[in-house]
Amino acid sequence: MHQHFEGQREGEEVLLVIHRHWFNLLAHLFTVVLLSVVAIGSILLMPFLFTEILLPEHLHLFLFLENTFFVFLWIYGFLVWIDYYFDVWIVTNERIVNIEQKGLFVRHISELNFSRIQDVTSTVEGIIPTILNFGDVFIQTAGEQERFTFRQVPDPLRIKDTVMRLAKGSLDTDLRNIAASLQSREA
Amino acid sequence: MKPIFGLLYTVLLFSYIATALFIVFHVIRYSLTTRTRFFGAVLFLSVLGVLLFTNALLFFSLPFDILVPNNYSL
Repeated sequence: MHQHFEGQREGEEVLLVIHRHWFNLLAHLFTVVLLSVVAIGSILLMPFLFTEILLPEHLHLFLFLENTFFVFLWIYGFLVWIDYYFDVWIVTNERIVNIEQKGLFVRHISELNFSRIQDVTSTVEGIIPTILNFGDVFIQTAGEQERFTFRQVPDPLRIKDTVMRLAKGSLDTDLRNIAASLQSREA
Repeated sequence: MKPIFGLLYTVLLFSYIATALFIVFHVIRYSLTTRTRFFGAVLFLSVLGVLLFTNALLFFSLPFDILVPNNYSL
């Protein structure tokens, strides 16, 4: 599937698009699901518990309040999804781009070139992360921003290996370019 | 009383619509694939459209005269 992100350079190829693990989304959507169950349960149970709700004037008010609550839940559910889906790490053949989405109005974008990577560490901590295989990947860099973190991502070991391989490839390319330029100077 | 409820409902409706517009803006502008862009926006707008339409119908069918007896004037 063709993937394109804002700020993608010409000829830059997207290799990996990493979202947080689905368990993270589930934990946030749990509130929405729970409130939906409460709302649906109240539609089914309230007429039995309070029969006066079935009076036309009360029924209209009850349905209006339930409907308003569902509108709120639908919008809130999508806000949770936006926070999850647009919080993303993109690994390309040139760099790593971290897009951090917080709500609707906060969006941080940072990037890291492979040549600045010094060390990559992955951690999986806890019972559920161990069972479902998700955790953090820390990238130690040589620049101002010393640590670049992939939080709660699936299969952190594979991501670590991929980043290390790409960083090594970038280093090899840099060394080859330096050697070639030195040779051309000597010649 | 009815105009006050009408005004409050208008504020509520506009806040829902404004939030919905921001959500659609994000889905269309920042989605990584065309499929997500299309299905995300269509799903969100179609369900929200139905919910808001029924919400407006229910609001305008509320019997304010019975629910809020006009014992005092504002």
